[in-house]
Amino acid sequence: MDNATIYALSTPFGKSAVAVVRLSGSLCLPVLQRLAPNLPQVEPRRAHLVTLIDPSTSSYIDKALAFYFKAPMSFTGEDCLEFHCHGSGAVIRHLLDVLSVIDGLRLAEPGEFTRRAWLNEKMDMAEAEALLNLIDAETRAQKEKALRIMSGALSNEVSRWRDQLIEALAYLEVSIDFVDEDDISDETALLALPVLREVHGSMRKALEGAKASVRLQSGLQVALSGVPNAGKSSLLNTLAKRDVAIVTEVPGTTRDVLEVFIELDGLPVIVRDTAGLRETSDKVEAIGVSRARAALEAADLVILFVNEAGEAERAALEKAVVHLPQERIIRLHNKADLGANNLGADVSLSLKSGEGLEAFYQLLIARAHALLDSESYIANERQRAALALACQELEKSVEGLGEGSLPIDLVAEHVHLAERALQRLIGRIDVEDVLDRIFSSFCIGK
Amino acid sequence: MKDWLASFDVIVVGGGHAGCEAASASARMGAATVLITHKPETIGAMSCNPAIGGLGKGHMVREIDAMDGVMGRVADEAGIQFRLLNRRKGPAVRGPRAQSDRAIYKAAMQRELAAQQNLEILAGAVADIILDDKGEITGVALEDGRNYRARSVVLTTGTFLNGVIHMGPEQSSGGRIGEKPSVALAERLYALGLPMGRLKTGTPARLHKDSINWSETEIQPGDDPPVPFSYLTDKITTPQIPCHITRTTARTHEIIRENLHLSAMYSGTITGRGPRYCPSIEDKVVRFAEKEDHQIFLEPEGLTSDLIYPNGLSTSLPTHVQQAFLQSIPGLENVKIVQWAYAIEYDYVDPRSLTRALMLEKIPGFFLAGQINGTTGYEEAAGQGLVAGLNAARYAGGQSAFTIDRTDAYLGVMIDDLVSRGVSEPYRMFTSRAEFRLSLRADNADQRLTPLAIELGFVSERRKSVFSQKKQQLSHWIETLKELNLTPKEAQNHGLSINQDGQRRSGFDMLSYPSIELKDLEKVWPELAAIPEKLAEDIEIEATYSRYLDRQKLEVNLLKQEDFLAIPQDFDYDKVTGLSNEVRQKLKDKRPTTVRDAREIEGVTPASLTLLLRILRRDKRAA
Repeated sequence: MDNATIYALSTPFGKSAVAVVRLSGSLCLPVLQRLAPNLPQVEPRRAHLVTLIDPSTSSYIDKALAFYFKAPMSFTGEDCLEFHCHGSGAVIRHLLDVLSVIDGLRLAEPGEFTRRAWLNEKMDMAEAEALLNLIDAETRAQKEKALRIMSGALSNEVSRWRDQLIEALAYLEVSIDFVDEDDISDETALLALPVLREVHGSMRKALEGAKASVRLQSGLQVALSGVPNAGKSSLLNTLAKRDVAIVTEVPGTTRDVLEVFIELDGLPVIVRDTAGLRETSDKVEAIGVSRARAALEAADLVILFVNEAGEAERAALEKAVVHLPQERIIRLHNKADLGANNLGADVSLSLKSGEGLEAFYQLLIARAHALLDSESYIANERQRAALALACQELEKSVEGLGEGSLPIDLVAEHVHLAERALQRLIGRIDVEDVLDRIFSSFCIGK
Repeated sequence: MKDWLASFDVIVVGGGHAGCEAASASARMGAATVLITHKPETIGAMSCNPAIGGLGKGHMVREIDAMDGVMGRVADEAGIQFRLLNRRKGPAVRGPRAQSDRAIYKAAMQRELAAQQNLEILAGAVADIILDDKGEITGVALEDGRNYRARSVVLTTGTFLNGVIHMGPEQSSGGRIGEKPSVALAERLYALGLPMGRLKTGTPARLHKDSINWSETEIQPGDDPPVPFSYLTDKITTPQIPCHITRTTARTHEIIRENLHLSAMYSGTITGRGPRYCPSIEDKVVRFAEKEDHQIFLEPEGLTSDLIYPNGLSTSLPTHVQQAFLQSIPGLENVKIVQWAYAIEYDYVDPRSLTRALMLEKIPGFFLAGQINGTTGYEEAAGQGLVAGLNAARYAGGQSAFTIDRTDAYLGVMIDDLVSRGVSEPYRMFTSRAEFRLSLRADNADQRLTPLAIELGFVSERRKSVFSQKKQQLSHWIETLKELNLTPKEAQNHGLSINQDGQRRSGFDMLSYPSIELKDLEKVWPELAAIPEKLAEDIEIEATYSRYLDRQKLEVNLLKQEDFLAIPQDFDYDKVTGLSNEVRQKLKDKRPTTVRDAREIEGVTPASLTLLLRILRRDKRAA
């Protein structure tokens, strides 16, 4: 129940010709100008062909159609913005990620666009009554869902964060409000630093986990990676049971990232074939290689082809995945029929003969389940976005306090902003909680 | 029919910090005002520590001053050691504080009120309030039988309501040491069925200056030059003197521990709740047993006074124990005690029974301000006094209530906290209570509140002209800074290191870097040297915080549009179609004042809030 500018993917997630991302609220115009800096002029209710740019990295998102609707002449009665972009999972995710870190924006609750339309009297009473039932139903359902989540792993983790944030805020606030006191020196605020670092680290870990869990809904991402001509495209085709990738004998054929959606033992899985990882002088192939690295970063599970690469190339491959936990990598030895040794792979198979394929499937399914089960306590994209924002704010507070680059009131401000971002996951931290902590930990009182 | 001796627009009962500010505000509004107090010669007395301001409190004084209240100017005249707390931290959390000369403070306050037009001062003990048959206030009755009539009454009883003084096992009734409490009035408030409770506070002993061995103490000088409270004060002219610091010893703690059973608090004689942030020394020794010593500030009570206020030693231990533990403190070995420490218990009214104008919901025209509402501190009391006095005058004149949002001022934060959450211990202001701390600064209180006060019509000509001049200069220089611009390369040539991204930046943008000051920019644009020194800091602060403030503004707007959306007290819930009867009845009974309050009511569903919100917004648009 706030008036933030909201955004959501308005078409089903998945591969389609066009995907529509819709925004509603006062920030629509600034968002459009920020994401499409080269757009000279915005005309309401007109199609603008725009190049969308990620403002934080200046990287390319997509070429899309943008429509701006000025309040009150819009669906919700507020300023609205629609991006009609290419229906690729990667594009949609990139765009949603970019929107999620813009101040004042948040992911829409279910039915929220409609609710706003009703609030602004863009609907009649009959429609409204139907909607009201829905709002109550949704909030009940949400409450139950929230309760279910809160009773589990997330609840434990989150109440720990809450305690730690209260502790950190107590150190910061006590050094602001009780400067003249017995117990309080300039160093008191620094006591917050290790606490903030720990929460930040632990949130980042949860965020990693959240990735996998959110993908229970949108699909687990599996990247195929390896030196050129290792058989990645063949595996993709085998998995998809149809010809998606162009499979050739020429190393470097796969220049873009290809993806297929498959269902694996009931789990939605997106398999992405990436260009081979190698240094190249071919410009087009070089772009493919850098996209492959990006796909690797975004993946939940990496299938690493370890066959017939030379020592140097294998080392380069291992280097590319060195920061990933071992349970996220499956080392696959293809072309077992050519008789080489298995090079320490988790599984050996021959895509040509089908030998070993069943064992590979079993391993893949087991790993996928393990990933989703262990880390599924963040239930949806909305929670993930809240956590991401909180994490970002905490990072600023840690940096500002650690390097002394921000005055203490601004450090505290970032912690408060993080806390506000978390409010949707956990209850609000009341100033009384912080004061309680201060008075129980410090001897205050002249 | 009552026999009225005289008739006024507004009667203010009490001459403490709340009463003074209320009387002044009401009289400045043009209302015929009378201040009635036991002893007019104690008007403006500082009953506890001889200091004004601090964190949150100093902010409050600036806000009172910005609305042309009296506290800031009087404190500037009485200040004998000024310190800007948190000077090296961010400007949002800098709080002005000053030791005050009690005698000068009292005299200056009395002079201020005596000079105020429309204000009369009367001696007398108010024993009762008089209501008409509709339950509205019509006046007050004094102990000696005099009755005074008024359209509205502001009650500021401080610690006098059923006051009981504790000194060890001994108890006596009193509102301050040597002054009698208000018992009849307390009984009357109980009889009216107001929700009441009991709170306590304490004050340390007073020591004789010449009996202290100062060589055993550490000196704490004030700021040079001192930073005044009032926007109207150019320079502090009162002579400045330092404070001193000493510490308790193991022996002090031992004496206190041995005699804990004699403390009024620990023996269970006191039932009222005391403030956690202002604990007695016995409380500190018990709760922080591992601490070997505690810091004690020896604060002078004035330039000519022989008294020293040992800040940090409030206690309810009996006198012989006080003597013993004081003598165990370095510098106090031969100390002469002029007045013993005591704790005081008093009645307060649950502030949740007040409107945001500080008027009792049940008794139209009856306003409460200060400790009677569960707060502690001179500044908190004065702030409420200003709001209550202003509104009492408006009520008397048939005008609507004036309220301040918590997004706009500490005054708003305090009143919102009080009326919506009540208190569980004496309420004191902290900067951490303000969600929008970055915009509620001591340096910009005038920019936030003086225009409001001018509009309300209780601001002097002098303040108007000082304010408009400053505002003009401020906007002129900020505009200038926004127009001047340079490339990163040019900046580098002037020795200013910024990101070499090729983007032109305005002078204002440059100032938002913590490492860049106006002085640095003068090297680029010499014309900036003409910025008056007093203004330079304000401009730098504004620039440094601009990015954060934009975001806060956004949040404030969100809150105002939804959470803080006011529900008029006469709002007709029957016109909200679609509400269930149960919810409708609950809303009618509880009469929430904001959407946020409505949300807190049990059984009010998101759907019913949505229905309510739609009508409120429609009404607002129509208005």
